[in-house]
Amino acid sequence: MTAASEVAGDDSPTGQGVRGQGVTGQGVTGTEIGPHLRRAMGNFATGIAVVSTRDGDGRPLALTASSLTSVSVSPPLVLVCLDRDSETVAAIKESGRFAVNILAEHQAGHSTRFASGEDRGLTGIDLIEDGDLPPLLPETLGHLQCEIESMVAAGDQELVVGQVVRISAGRLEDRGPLLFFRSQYSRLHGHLPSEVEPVTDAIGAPAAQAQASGFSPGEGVVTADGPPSPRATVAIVGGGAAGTLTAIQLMRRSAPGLRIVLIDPATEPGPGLAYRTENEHHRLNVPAGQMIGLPDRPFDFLDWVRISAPETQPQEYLPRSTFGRYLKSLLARTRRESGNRVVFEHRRATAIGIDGRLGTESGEDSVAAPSGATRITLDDGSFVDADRIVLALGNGRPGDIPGLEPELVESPHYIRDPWAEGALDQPIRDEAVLLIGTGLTMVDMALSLGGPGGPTLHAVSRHGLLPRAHGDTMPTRGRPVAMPDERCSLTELISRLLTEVAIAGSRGEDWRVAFDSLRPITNDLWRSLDRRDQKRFISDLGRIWGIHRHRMAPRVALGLERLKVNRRLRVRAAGIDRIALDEGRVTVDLHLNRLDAEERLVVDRVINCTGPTWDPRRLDSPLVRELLDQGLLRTDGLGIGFDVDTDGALVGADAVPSDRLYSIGPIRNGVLLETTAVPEIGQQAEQLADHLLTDLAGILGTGLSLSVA
Amino acid sequence: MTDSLLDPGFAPEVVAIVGNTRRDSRTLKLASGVADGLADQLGGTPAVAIDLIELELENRTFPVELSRLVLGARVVIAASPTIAGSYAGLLKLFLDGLPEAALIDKTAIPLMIARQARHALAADVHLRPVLLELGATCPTPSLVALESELASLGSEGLVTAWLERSGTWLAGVPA
Repeated sequence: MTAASEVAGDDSPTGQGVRGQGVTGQGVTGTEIGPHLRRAMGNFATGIAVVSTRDGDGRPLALTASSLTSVSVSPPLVLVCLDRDSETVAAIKESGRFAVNILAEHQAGHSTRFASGEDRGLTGIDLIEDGDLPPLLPETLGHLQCEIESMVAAGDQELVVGQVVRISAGRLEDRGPLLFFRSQYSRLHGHLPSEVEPVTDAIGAPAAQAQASGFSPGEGVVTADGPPSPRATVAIVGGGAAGTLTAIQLMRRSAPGLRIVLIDPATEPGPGLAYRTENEHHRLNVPAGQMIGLPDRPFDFLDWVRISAPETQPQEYLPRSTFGRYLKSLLARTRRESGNRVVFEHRRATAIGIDGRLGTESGEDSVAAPSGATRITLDDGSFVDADRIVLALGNGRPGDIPGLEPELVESPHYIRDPWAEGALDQPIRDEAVLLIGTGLTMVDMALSLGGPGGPTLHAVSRHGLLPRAHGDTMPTRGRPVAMPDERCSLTELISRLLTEVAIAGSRGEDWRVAFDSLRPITNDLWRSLDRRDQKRFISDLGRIWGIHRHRMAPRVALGLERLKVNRRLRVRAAGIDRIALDEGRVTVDLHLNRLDAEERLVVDRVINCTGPTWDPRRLDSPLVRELLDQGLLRTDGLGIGFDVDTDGALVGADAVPSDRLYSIGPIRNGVLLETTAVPEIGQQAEQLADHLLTDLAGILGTGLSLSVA
Repeated sequence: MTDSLLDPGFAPEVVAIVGNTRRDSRTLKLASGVADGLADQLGGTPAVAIDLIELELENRTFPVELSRLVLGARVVIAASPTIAGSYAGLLKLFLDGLPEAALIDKTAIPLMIARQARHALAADVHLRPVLLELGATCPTPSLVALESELASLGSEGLVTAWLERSGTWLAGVPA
């Protein structure tokens, strides 16, 4: 017996009922052996299959098989072990037929459901009808339709040998199998090389012994020799989503001799600033099914969420902290899976400087760093010598609002960066708060602060436009849109967009579909615009594009609407004429743009919600300042991000892309139009990891082909 | 801003409607260039050029969104290749679907690519009257590009030449 229902330990999700049935009239010795056998057999990994059939009334019935074995090819026979007392066995005896459904990695829920007691009717499952034959479960890896060949009773199990009469492959080619190993559902991670040498001498022995002696689940495989000494180091500055995904992608490529150093002051890398918030109102702006951190495993996040919340739907907008936890877990999982082929270090510090002689010929004068390496100094006085450096700096603090009195800026009445650690920690008992900006930052703040007992919120921006909401349905791919062959003008870009809007409209869909259709080629379109058109886009259309493209989750939009209806939040299109500290409160003189009228507000606090900046000249980072001073990076032509090449390499003051400094994520803004959302960052991480390892292949001695584990 | 496809919206002031049965045609390129140049001269929002062949017809009419786009514009460019000595039926189908007097108070510019010199008048003889009938003002010469000119001057050259020639008329485009 090897599968879920029998070998399950106490932590098994298969439920109590089955375990109870498993212990039947065993002697003292049996009871003693039982748990040991369970643990011993737990080391034998199995797939999981569910047997489905119909009862006498034709109602569908399913049971998780204790085991499934291929018995013979000719004649085609398989064996399933089923709980003897189950109705399913009775029904199979009666009808003479059953189907085997081989579960995929996202179907642990099915396994648990059909192991923990029988299920008649299979409500809520979109069964595949197969004529008169037993019904099949959807989304599996494969199905076998069988007729009984023979049945044998053994212990509490019925061994049913079936002749396979029909085989259908599952439709989920990109899914892995659901596995059961040491009382846990598991998934397959990678394949061994196709030619494995048989163990012939003592070298293999220590590993085998280590396995036999038992080690705690989840540890990497113990190999005879220690980790290879690192030959190349990639330092990643910033441990938010972008930095963490880069580290993960590098690790997955398992280049022996690679050392990854992730520099971030946080206790644990992963969530960064964006996915750290525990506020329930702070939702992901992308539905769960499209939060794709690993482009080659599009369902990884959803599957991970479903382990603890099986009912999660792909179109749900989950709390941001969920994604933060996922990143932590993914990093841990990847570290485990990579064994110790790759060295990973997390340095809890902030990078503050970089070796000034970067770019000089290696070995010239006695640079402190090893030849060819670049030294990053950290604020704890230590340093990291790296061959390649990736800046994953995330979103920059909001820029200063011009014209604010220093007196106000210095006072507790002004919050320059609402995302800064502890910025909103003290409870705000204000009567009224001014939020400057009406974008997604304002929305987050309004939802954090508003509500019963909260202050009255005044949100102000020149245009007064709020982000639009996502539709109730899943964003679609839209229809595929081809890239124009030649350079694109702004007119062409907008024409394409509006054409897509018109087409969506004539199909009864809305404008969102048009934006979704363009998303895969947005960056290509953007890059094909000349500088002048890019500037015009930002100035004339930036806001319109932004509010339609970067949308709020439906429930966030609802929360905002509620605040507006209850007069907790007022949004104005206005300019700020004057803003001054006045007897412990703040007086704000507004000029209402559409009405051409004046209005005065008195508030207790002003929060800068103008949103993040990525202009390196405005970033509050000693490292960036130093890189700028040394001419190792420059702003893109639009002044909204870093100048980088298509690989993400920083372009210096000399207009030459660096051979060792790279960027990922939002700081590529300006060169790319889409670079702040997880799907884009996930792609960048994948491409950057490939690029870096190809680049370092000479030092690592790995050759050029590295496969993803 | 009621005539925008997006709400809250963006209403381009210069809209080109292209009736070529081939996608990404030279007609589209020429019309985009003129629209772009005009939008620049007017100093307003970026222009738009809609390739009718990209759109889907429902009951033989174009999406209403397209009419809204045209109704919200100040300058409308009607562009087509010459087909059988006249302009394309695709463009006619679109113009026929517009409401009565849809182009009133708007400046319209007929634009055609002519294969042969004897078709050079098609824009003035066939296309201009329809635009006038819809209420438009057509103060500029039509832009007629002979294939030979297109080959020698290129799309950009033709656009520049036409914009220079038409500048004086366009100075009077109603605001």
